Amino acid sequence: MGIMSAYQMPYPLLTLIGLPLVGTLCCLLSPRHRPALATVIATVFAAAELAWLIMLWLTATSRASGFAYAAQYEWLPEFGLQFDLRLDGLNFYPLCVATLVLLVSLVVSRDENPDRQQRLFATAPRQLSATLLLLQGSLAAVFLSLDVVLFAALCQLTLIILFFLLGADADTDPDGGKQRRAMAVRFALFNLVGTSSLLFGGLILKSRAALSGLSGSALDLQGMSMPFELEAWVLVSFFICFAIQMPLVPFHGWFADVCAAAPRWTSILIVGSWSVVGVYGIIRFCLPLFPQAVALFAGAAAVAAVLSALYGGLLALVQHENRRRIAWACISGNGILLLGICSSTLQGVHGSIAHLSSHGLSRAALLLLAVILAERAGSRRGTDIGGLEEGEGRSVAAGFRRIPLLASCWLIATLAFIGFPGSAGFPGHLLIFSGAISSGQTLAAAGVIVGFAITSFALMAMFHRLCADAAAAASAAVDLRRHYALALLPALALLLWAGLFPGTLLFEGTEQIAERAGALVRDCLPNLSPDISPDLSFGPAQQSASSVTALEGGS
Amino acid sequence: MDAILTELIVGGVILVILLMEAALSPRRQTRSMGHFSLFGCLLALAVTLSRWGGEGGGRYGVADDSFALYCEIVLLAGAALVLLISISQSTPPRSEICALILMATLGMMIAASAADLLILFLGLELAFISLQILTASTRFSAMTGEAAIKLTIISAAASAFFIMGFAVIYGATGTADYAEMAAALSASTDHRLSTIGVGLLLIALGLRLGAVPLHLWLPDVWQGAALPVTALLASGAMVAFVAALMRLLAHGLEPLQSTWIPIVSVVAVATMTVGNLLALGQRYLKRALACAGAAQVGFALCGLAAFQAGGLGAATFALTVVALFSLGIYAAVSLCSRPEDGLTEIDDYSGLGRSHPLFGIGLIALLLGLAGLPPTAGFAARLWLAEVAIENGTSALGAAVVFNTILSAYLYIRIGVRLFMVAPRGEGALAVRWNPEAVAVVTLAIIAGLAVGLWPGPIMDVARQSAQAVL
Repeated sequence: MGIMSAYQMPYPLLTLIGLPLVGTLCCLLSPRHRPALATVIATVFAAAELAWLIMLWLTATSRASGFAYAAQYEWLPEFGLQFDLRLDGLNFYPLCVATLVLLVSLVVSRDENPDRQQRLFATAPRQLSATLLLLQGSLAAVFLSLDVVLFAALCQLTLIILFFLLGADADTDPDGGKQRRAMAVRFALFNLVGTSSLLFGGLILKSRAALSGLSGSALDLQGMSMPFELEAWVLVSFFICFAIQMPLVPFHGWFADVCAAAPRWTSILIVGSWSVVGVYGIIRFCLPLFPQAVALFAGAAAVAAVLSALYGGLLALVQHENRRRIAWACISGNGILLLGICSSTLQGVHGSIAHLSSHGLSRAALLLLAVILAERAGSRRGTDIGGLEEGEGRSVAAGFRRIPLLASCWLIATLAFIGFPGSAGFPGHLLIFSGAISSGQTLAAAGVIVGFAITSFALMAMFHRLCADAAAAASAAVDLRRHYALALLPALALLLWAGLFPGTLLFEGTEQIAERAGALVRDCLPNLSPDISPDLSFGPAQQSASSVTALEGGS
Repeated sequence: MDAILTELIVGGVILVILLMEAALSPRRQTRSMGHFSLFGCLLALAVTLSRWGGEGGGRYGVADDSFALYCEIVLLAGAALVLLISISQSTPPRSEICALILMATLGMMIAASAADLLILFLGLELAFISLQILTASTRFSAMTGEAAIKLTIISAAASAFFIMGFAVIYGATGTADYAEMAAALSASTDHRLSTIGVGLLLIALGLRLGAVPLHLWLPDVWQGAALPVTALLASGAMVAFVAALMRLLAHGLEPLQSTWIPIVSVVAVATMTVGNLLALGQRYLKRALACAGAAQVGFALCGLAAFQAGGLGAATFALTVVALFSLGIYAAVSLCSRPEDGLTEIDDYSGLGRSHPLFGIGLIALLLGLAGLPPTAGFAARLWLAEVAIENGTSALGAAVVFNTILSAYLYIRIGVRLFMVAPRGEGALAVRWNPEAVAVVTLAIIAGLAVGLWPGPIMDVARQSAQAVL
């Protein structure tokens, strides 16, 4: 390792963005008559990206204290926009998860169902692979970029690519694709509102920073003094975006439909990458940039967390469709993540950072299994496996034996999702709840725990039903295909490992980030007096107003 | 002489075309005239480019600053692309059509560089009369006659308002020259008369631009005009008239800014919002693009309202980008066959992305550009406009820009959904006929739009510096 770290790697972060883009070109240029080759090329590029990312992390010298890597590239200097790319513990794990999800998505993108061979992407794997790699490039840029305006712009770009991935072959759906189209458009509109709000807030911040000669990078903005009123408004504009991305109740209108109707390669990208960006954004931007406002709104955010956990749990319970049930369970899980963040204690924030990655991975794995199951059953609505009547003495164990691969993958993902002790979700939950309780948000923690308990019950009931139905199925139940299981293997192995040895995987290099972000907010807590005088003065507004009066006075 | 060199060249080319029409037999005219006018256009463009950096002060009421040169370059390049679209049509343009396109461009160039109300009037009239004849002379759809009559009436009304406004301003200041006007206005303290003049002039130019609430004629005219004419209306006319407005307000009427800034701000927000909302309900493609085109004017007016913070540069850049993408869109539309009545519905594009993937992806890139989404130049333009509005202290205007981008994106997303996510219509499905000229325009628009979107710095610098010249 010492030898490796002595070797300076050229353009470490730019490679992370550039590699998938080169892969996109390679996929498009690959021979037309051998479509399978494009998938192989894309998989190789995605694997190389993951390897490069992990190598960067392992060879970094300063990963515990600060940014392991940093790079600045001028983009629009006179506009104050630059690529301020950083890699640290906060974005390394989500980016790893995103890359892993992409790898899985590429492997499962090959559709072997003859019914759907007419689809655009089924007949054009080159385009699909190229688009997926393009998405990865833009996601890598989103995670690495610290400039607020650029972050918002890249989010918007990612959103456009996802929109086309969601709906691109809807016309070949059996029902004419109405549901798919509506879902894709709803996804785009919801998130367009969010990213535009983020963009607007970012622009206001940046124009404010330009007055003090600062750049728009989150690092520069951190120390900037702002009138409290402005800070609160910009926080709200940021939070709307992240709450839609995650999503939280009441911004969740797009989410369940997307999980239920998206093709399998895109649905896991949504829950494993896009939604993760929302949580990441809150920790990366909201906590350090607006500590005062966060301290003020922490209570409201805790209410939103409880609402999400409870509402998501209750709705998960009544869903008949596996994918919708998982979607609501994700919303419920987001409540936990938000609870940890708004506790603003070291444990809480640290727990959220750690839980973010494991949660993203586990829900992507679970959703993928559900989508595969649903596609195989061929049902779009209602129950995924027919003839469900519980309590007729069907043995779960017998069902498990009939579909060992599917059931064990499902079980691992479910346990990690609900944070069963010994699973990957457990340490995160433990930290988050202890953080919330130690910060005095006991009531909120209790609410979230109740909500998530309902969710856990709903998910376990889903697993029970899966096995019971498999046992009752008249024909031989078909187990998970080998290459699907193989694709899921690394993700599930990571989940197991992270559950058994959490110290080695989830918590390296994140503690200081959590401490710093939490401390900033905590510092503001005692200072927060109720009689904060509203100060509406935006710097530039004042200036121009005074210049107008000067002109009038002059004439 | 230098100040109007470009205009003189274009005028000469028009004369030659008209003379050759008399001399040549009708059969030989058609193809060669299109190419000859294209050549003339490019010649004028080359001469204008060679004069970049060596501007004089301007004479004869025509400004000769870098902003005038910039507008001339954009207008000539736009006219060249319009001529290319025109040549690509199944029936090549008759010589008088080419001459009229150049004449309209000449009028636009004069309007954009006018530093005198009389010259501005001359340019506007020349441009609009040419556009009226152009609209009437090609029967594109069942709406053509209506479009031509509407354009004529609107133009007459606009002229009337303009002359009244001109008279009042002249009465108040005793001059038609912008620089003298500004001096006279800042010297006087009683602005009651000149405020009325400003209002009348704003009505006149608002009518020509189709700004809300004077926008009702726009969809009909855009829908009824032939594709090259609509392309000219959507690119050159928009650039020229907003540029003329910018010069008039930010230079000549600058002392009255406390009067016109609120008006322009309100009109800008109304135009953006109403235009985008109207576009959502449209069934026909060209009508929808027309409403969205009006909204684009609204975006540019936001820059004008924030002119103290450098908004003119942002508006100039935004207009250039919109003109580029609009030309690309109309060239792409001209590649498709048309239904019998010439009224293409948005639904007619269903499944076209599946049957012609390249066409679909190209159209998507252009639509993203008009919607102002990354990674196209449209995004950089919107970003700049919003930033300028915020820096100007008018955050509400910035918010209007950002959130209208969502509204406008919905229309373009709708077309994208038709292209790729809806099964094609069995009967009456559109066919795509590739032809080199239109494909060249589409390719140029996409490549330039993406390149400027990824590296907007140089073009933004040019726009910023040239717009500085107005102040």
